[in-house]
Amino acid sequence: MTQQQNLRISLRRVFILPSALGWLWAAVGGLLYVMGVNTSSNVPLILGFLMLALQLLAIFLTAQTLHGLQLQWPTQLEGWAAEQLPLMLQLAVPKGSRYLGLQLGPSGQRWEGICRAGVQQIPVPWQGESRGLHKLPRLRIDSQAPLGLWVCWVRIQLNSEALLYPAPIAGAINEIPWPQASGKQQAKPNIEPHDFHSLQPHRPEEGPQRLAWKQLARGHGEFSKRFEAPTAQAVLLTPQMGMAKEQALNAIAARIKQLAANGECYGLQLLQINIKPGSGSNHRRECLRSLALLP
Amino acid sequence: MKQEAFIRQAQALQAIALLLLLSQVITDLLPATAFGILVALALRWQKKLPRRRLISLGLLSLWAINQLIAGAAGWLEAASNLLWLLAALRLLEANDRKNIGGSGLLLLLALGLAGLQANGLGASLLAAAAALLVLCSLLGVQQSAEKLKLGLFGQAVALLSLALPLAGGLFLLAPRLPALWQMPGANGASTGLSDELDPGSIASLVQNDSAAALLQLKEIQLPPPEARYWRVRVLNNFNGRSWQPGPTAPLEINPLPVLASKQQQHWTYQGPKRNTLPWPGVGTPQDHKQRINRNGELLRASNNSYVLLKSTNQPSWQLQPPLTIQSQWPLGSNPKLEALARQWQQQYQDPLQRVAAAYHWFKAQGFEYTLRPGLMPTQAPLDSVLFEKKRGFCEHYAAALAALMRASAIPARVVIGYQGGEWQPTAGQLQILQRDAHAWVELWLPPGQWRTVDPTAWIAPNRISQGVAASLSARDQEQLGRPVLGWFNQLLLPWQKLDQGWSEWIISFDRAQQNLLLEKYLGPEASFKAIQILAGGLCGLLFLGISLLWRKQQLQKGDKAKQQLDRLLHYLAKKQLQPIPGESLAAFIERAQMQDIRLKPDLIEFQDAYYRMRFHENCDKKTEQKRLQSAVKNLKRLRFFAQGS
Repeated sequence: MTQQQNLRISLRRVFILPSALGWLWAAVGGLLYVMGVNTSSNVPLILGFLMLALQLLAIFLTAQTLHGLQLQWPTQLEGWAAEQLPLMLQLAVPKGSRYLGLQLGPSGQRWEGICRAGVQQIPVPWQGESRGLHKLPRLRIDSQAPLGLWVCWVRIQLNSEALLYPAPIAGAINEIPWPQASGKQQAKPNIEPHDFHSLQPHRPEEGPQRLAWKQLARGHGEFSKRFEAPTAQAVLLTPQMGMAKEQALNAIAARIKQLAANGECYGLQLLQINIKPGSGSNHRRECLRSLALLP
Repeated sequence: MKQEAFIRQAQALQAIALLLLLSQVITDLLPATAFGILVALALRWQKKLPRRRLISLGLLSLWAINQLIAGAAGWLEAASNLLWLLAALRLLEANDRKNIGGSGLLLLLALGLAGLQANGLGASLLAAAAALLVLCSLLGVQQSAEKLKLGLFGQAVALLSLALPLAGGLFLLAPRLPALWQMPGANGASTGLSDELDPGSIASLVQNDSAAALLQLKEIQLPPPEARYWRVRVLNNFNGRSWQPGPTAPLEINPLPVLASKQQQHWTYQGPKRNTLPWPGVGTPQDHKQRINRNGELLRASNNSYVLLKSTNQPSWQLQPPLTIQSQWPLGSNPKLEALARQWQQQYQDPLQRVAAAYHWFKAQGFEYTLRPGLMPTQAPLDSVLFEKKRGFCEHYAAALAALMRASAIPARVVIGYQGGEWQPTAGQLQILQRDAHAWVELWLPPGQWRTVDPTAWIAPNRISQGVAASLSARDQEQLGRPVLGWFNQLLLPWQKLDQGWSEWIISFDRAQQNLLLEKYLGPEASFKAIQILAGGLCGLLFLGISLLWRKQQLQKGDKAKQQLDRLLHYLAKKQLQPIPGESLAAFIERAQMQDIRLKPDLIEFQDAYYRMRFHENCDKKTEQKRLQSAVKNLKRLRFFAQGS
């Protein structure tokens, strides 16, 4: 379970300025005033004053739309560089639906949509270009409700970090079969035997851990579960000689992605990193993290 | 591209608003504009709209054709037609949030422009409905509601009702600048008074009940009904059939500046735009920019409201000798009339005697005053009025008498304006309606001045002393639109009163009336004070809004007990006393008082009050809250001397 942060938006954080429509609105109101004054007729005057009054009212109403929103977001994100990594933001709207825009950083992609009363998950798009540990930029939430005359926004310092693995771009790498690579015949690959293979009659020395409790409960007798790791050859991934560092990292990341998807067994050997072959999601994460954080 | 439901909805709302708007300006709508807009809307509805640019181009060219056909259409008409077209086009193209806002704004602008042309109560209500729809569309777009809900209208109404008092305050108090520039074609309107008098071409006169002018008197007596002649326009040119203004009269020599008189007439002209405004013919305009020309016409300066100061001098326009055009007579145009005039000319040397002869002749003929005289022949129409049909209304008789006098060598001209008006004692003002429109004659008589002669007064004295209705037969009275019976009109009566009130209080509330009102309540330097009040009011409103929001925020923070607990924890945290996860308040407090025994009484007090506030349903929350506050306060006063015991 990742750690979460909370925030409740209060008026103190809200900025507000007229939107483009708001400026136009004021201009039309002014035009109506001039029209009314110049022709001494009151209908355009009243309309102009009404528009001004609505615009003044809208200041408060617009600021009100952001007030009281409750946000919750994770402090840690992990994903690939140069790929979309949305920040899953949990947004609680006190009442009424409103049209909100959310954006991470000035250059981030905008999320726009209707937020209805209640709690909802919003994937705020974000994309980091380079591997490593990134601090998430500030989140901007804006709204123009109810009339679109003013735009009000808050900027929130998220204090969240994103760990980006190297972008998976396929390329040439060296794959050294293991254990031949190290010459230590006895060493076993760090394989998590996770795949269920078959049931065998239970022997007391196997202990209760492997007992097939479900079968026992159904009255089929005592069986023990047998697991088997993938039988594929374990490999050590190393960069090809003379390849640029980032390019090599990209190639290795791509290969890891591929191997992990096939459930194969792999290890890493480059610069300071030396990870024994293994498989499973934890192993994959360890490898990718070390690639991401490689200085 | 598939449009979202709420965009379509907003479009539909705005389309209805546009149709409402068009329905009230239907008479000003050039046919091609109307046709173009309707076709475009219909096509859009059927989703058979061809490429947008094509439609735009088509509609704009339609408008251009319109302008060519209409030719002399006024600038206002042209501008508003273009605006309506643009609003319709913009509406068709509005396929996202931004464009809906833009088309809504255009509609509002068009509404204002339409308000110039139609400002009765009915038209204003329609305009308000249209504005409400536009507001709904804007609200709907921001809320992105998929289905049109009644709540949206409720919100729009609530928003409007919040904004209305503010707008009303601005309307009453905001300073009105004088007109920035003279609007071109300000005399283009033609209802009410026309600048031409061609009585032969009018078969029956439809009386217009709308307001023409409002007169308020300051320390001055209201003239008796028979002296209430309000001149507007002078017609000098006679072509044998109709009377026209003739060449523009030069301006009068600037009158000497007069001492500010307290005897004032405050005029508010409420009719369609004109270059000349009604006035009694005597008095001096307070605004030195307002001029009087040699015809005795009061020229419009910038405003429809003007003040006339009483002056004892004889107005100089009355002494301006006649121009040749004022004596010209097209020979042979009305032979019988000409023969009669010649006879008088030979019979009486003195022009005054000729006028007296005309008076007796008119009295003896048994002329009938009617609003339905029927058409006169194009050949010698005035002969037909005087010698055959012997029926007509003021225009017929004024045109005929002026012609008779010219033919008998007395310089003569026709004056059109208003006569009479309804005195409203409660408001202390004279309301002049378009139906009070009148025409009379001015003759150049010895010892050398223009004198007013009204043949209608000879024929139907009641018309002058009691108004039009009194001088008509029952059949004619029906035509006035005010039959004595008729349940329908009875039903309409309250509406008419409302309408009258609307135009009296709202539509004709202008700079002069604003000044009057402000001076009444605020005394001298009223407009400056009004600005102060306005600024103060706006600041107050701002403050009120912010404090309301602030209060709401505080309320939402809620939970007073939690606030106090946070204060306590914050305070103790500074002393390295922090609750351990899972520790209860009681355990924590015990630990704290172990550390410093002096904290004990206040901590116990705090704990007790806190538990009571949390778990005791019938406790007095305010008292407990005060206990919490004072406990924290007392703790803060204590100084920590030692940590640990």
